[in-house]
Amino acid sequence: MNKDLSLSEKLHNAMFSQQAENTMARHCYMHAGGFGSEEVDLIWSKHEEITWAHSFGRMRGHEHVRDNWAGSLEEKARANFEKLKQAFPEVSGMDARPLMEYALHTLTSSIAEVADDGKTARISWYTPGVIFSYLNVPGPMNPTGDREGAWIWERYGCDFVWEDGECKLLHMQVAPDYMGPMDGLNGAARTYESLINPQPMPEFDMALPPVDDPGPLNYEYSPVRAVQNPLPWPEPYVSMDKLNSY
Amino acid sequence: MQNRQFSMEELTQRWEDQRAIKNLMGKYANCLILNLEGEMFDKFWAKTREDICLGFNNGWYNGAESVGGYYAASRARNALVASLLQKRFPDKLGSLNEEELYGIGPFKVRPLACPVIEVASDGETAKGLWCCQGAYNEIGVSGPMAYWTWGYFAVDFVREQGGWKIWHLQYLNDIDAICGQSWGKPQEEYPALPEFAPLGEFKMPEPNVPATLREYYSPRRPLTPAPRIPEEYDTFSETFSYGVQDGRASA
Repeated sequence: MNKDLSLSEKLHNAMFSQQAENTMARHCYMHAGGFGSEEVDLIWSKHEEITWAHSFGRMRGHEHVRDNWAGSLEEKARANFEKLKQAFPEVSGMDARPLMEYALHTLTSSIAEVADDGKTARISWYTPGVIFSYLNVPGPMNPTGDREGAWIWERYGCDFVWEDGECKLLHMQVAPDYMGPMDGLNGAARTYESLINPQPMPEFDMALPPVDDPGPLNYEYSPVRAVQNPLPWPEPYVSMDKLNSY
Repeated sequence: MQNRQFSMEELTQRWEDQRAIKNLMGKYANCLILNLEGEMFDKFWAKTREDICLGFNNGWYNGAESVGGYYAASRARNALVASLLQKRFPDKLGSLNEEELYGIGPFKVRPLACPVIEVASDGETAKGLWCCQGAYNEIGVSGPMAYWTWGYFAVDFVREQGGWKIWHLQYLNDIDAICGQSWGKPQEEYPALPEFAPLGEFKMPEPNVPATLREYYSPRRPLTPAPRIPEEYDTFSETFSYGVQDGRASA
């Protein structure tokens, strides 16, 4: 914290960092509920330069984030809902989105910095989470597509902007470290076994939404992969620039 | 501290102190993920106090030499792990030099949640308690192995040269168990693998104040409350310590 700031500037920055933690917590709840479009409207900045990024790449711009991040999740929810209705007719008429899956990311180990100019803030988190659904799609983690819950271990790096008296999300990057089935035995031992005795993996149609900056922006953890720091913690900064941005 | 009135400037400073302490511990957790044990003692620990201490379930590393020695040994173990993986996977890691190789292998996530932070009224010390529902992949004599760790970080801080440093730190677990096995039954070790045998010969330094600071969970463990929660206080002599006290953790 810059000691040269006035008292009112320090108070603003204190409130800003607390609001930024609240904003990200709102994201966690809304994301878990499947309310992506509402989230973009309510807690994301109106700036055209907003970005959302995952290991597979970065989306730039409001339209892109709304249509291809929030939109792709909602489209998947609608498609899954049709299958879900066949298995569980009692869900007819319900909101399809929260019925798709439950993906709850918790927020821990936050490191927050507010710019000296008070216009932006930056926070990194570690996010242990869970994800499960009634209708799973066959994939590398779950080849049979059985009902299965998974632990997800990810990092978040977010920039926030003070906009019309409120804290809004400007940039979000998700860096997954590891994902494993809840009922699995020992992920590390299993990974080692697969390194020693590699087996051919079935191919899955893992269609990913389009991105502006193709990834990979980070890799999943492996015991034979170099340590990665895709989202370095924020350092004290004066004003947002390319060096101080997620 | 009851009825203590702070000025607006003091209140602002106290908020900044709380944020700085959260940031410090967030960075501590980040450095564990990045396997930066070689830097953590210098980066985070107090330099002006002789009674720094690091407590685990089985005792204390008490004093700068012992605490620093723990981190140095952790770094040395990381380096040994990476070299063994390089020997086992020359096709993947054989071309890496020592610096590039360092850190490959372990993955230690210690997510810090539910912080309770109290800054002394005199602003010279602070206390914090976090719960930590973590997991880690470590390489042992059985090769890479995943573990659950559920426990607490209980920390005293001291202000040094305008910033906050760790004075006493307890990292106490209820659970430190192999993934995929019951937490309520004895752990069954996986068979040892010859390629990792040198790890059986590597010995971490033992705590120089051995003590049972916390029993791990078992169905027979008596009810064991969380570490004492920080309370408001004026100056450190008026509150309890997370440091060494007759070999026990603070109740």
